[in-house]
Amino acid sequence: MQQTNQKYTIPPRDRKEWEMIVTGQIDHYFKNFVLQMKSNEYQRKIDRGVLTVEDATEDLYQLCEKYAIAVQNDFKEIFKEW
Amino acid sequence: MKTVEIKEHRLLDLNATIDLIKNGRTLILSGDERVLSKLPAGKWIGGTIPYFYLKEGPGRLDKEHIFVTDFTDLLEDAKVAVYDANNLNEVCTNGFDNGFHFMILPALRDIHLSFALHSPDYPNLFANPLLGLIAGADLDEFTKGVLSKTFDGTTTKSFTDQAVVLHAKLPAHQVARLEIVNVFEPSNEVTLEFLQDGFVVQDCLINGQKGNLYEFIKENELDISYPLVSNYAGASVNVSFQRLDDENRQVIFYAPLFAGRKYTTSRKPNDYVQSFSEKATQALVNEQHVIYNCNCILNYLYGGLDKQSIGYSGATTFGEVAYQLLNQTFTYLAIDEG
Repeated sequence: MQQTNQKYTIPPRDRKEWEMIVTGQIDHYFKNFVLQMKSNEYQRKIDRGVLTVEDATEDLYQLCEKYAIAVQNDFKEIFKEW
Repeated sequence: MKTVEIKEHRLLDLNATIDLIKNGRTLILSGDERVLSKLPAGKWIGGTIPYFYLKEGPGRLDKEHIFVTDFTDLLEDAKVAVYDANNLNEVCTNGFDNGFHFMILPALRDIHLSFALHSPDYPNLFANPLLGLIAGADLDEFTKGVLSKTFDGTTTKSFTDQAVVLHAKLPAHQVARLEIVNVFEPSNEVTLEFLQDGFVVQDCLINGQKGNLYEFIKENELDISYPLVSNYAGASVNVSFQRLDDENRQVIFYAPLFAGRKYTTSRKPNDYVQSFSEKATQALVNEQHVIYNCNCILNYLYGGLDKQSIGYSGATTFGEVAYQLLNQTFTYLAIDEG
């Protein structure tokens, strides 16, 4: 379990769902406004070949570490538990 | 309705605002141009707008008072910067490692269009929240050509074509988080596609067929108090109607429409205040520390916020900045602590 700078945690970096989010393999409508935009951005950039899946996954993970509280509702639906 | 207490976010008279400025407070100000022009230099930025919604009761058009948000006690540091359309894309690369950028743009000017068009590609966009508002004016004056203005309080200079930004630094144990409450959802009853980017539309594709949007709205008696909705970069974003131009048979919007994107009308909520209340309560139920909120002038007008309260106080806007340009959306900034 990843401990963040807040009371909230996010799933470990090696969970396969991280990669599935950035590649659009998860059918989920994000409640969080930033995740709506970022997931779309990752998919567009990966499709255009300007961003690798690995870099996108790392970027998303770091963003979610900072904003752990904001992603809890979406992540409980996607990751279920961690 | 459950509401979250927002401290240091209130409507004040001119003298009380001057006192805060003279005491070195770091402020975001909204008010009529004539009252903002009377303020002394200090650490503040401002935008013109004379419409306010109030927690304690009905909102009002008020050209004497100023809506003041005092961020001073939250911040470790802050700096004010002015941007034009040529360097606005640098807004998220300036500022601090941890904090937020509060931006005020003038309405319906080139810089407004530029922001709407290009902000999703700004470098470093999501590192810290980019929030703010589009300045406005008394609607009677605005439709006669009066321009909205932004103010750099450090010099007291005002601008019709430049953005002012407060880059704010938070302590390391805090993080700012930007959220929105959007009452409107896509109806998918009609698909609209536009032939070029812009705020003004004559011909467009209506369900794939070329036609005049003004005539389509008239013939189908579309209610223009409800926005168009489109998917912008993954988020459902409203674009609000400003007015129907009878003389030129065209439609004027509060945000640009973009070629290559599909728009639809929005599903009508039965009652704006009730719908807002339900969505806001759902969104804000776990919030502990909201430090700012703003709401669109159209929600004020069509939601009747001059006759009733939605449980929050704030200044209205001619558009909201939440990483990108929004319309008819309640926007707020929350602080999370470790």
